[in-house]
Amino acid sequence: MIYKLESTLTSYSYSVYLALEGNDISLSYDGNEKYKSSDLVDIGDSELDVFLRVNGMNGTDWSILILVTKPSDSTYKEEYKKSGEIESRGTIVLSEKFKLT
Amino acid sequence: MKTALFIFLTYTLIQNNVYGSTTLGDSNDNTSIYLWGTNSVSSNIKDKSIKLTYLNSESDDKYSWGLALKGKAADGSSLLFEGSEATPETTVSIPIGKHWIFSTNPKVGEPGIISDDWLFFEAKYKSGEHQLFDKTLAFDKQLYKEKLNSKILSLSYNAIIDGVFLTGVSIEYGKENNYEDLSKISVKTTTTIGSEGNDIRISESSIDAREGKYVEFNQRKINMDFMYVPGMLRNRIGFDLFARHTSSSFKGSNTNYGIGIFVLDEKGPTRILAGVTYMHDDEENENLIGLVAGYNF
Repeated sequence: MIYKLESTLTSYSYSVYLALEGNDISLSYDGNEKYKSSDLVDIGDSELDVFLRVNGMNGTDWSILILVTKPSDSTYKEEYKKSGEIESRGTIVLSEKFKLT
Repeated sequence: MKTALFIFLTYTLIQNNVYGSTTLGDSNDNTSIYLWGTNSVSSNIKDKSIKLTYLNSESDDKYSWGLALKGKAADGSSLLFEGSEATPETTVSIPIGKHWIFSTNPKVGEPGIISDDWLFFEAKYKSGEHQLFDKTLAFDKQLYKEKLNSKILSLSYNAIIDGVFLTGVSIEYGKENNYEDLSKISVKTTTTIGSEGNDIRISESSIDAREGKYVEFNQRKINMDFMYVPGMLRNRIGFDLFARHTSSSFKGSNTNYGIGIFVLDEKGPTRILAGVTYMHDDEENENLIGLVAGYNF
């Protein structure tokens, strides 16, 4: 099924990578701390694969918010949220499956 | 809070040999650290300048480009352009950056010891006009102006090492002059407007100028910074050791070393909230203390 995913990554890192369902996501950067993208993604098993890597200085905060909607159902809306900070070696990796209802 | 700190430091804290700037720069606004994709407004109260920087990039872009404009205040205001001409003391620069020189693109895999790095090439056009005074010339030619429109090229490399060191080295080459080294004078002109009986009416005007031999020369600058952000201080304090080298056929070679201590944003250590730098200038034999405030948008 096709879902619309609106992703917002907030971080003072300059080196970030986001993949949703194995697809590379190109995030537009506001030159400060917001990276954004809006994508239509086919999610077959009702589980959204999220892969995020953030590189930078230790102590750099990061947070990701993904708004999930269905073009075919205007009442459907879900939010995926996660946050943290780079704790060591200048990198973090987040790899999760988000169950959609 | 950040806005108040920015205004306070840049407009009120002027003392002898204490100067403010709003980047990672020292009291002369020199630095080798150019952050990737950071749009900012910065100012320097030593030369009364304000700089606007815009850089454009996307998360998966290897390259970034941008525009920076720097204007110096004259009589309390700063115009960058008048018609199609750049006003004196305006600097226009175009930075072009390349990401992931020795570090790993996060799309490809885990970073090594270098968490992130980037290279910036910058082409600058600096417009300058300077008021000079020479008492040996004919009276009506003693006050005159010299124009210097110089092209400056610079290359800088920055790296984040192991998440705790922010390092940089930059090389710059371009035409400079010795205007700042000349003696400051105020030239007063008294004109008799007319007289009636015993009364004489005069008008007085005053022009700030510099006196001495004005020289233009090519100068090379090398800046190096090595900032350590220890985890034990919750990544909130940065200690910067830096070196500033200049060399030219006119002034010879000069290298100064300094130290800076910075308070960093709790959301990310690459953002400076405030700081202080100290450098001893061997050439002028003076101690320079710089105050730093950060403001990004």
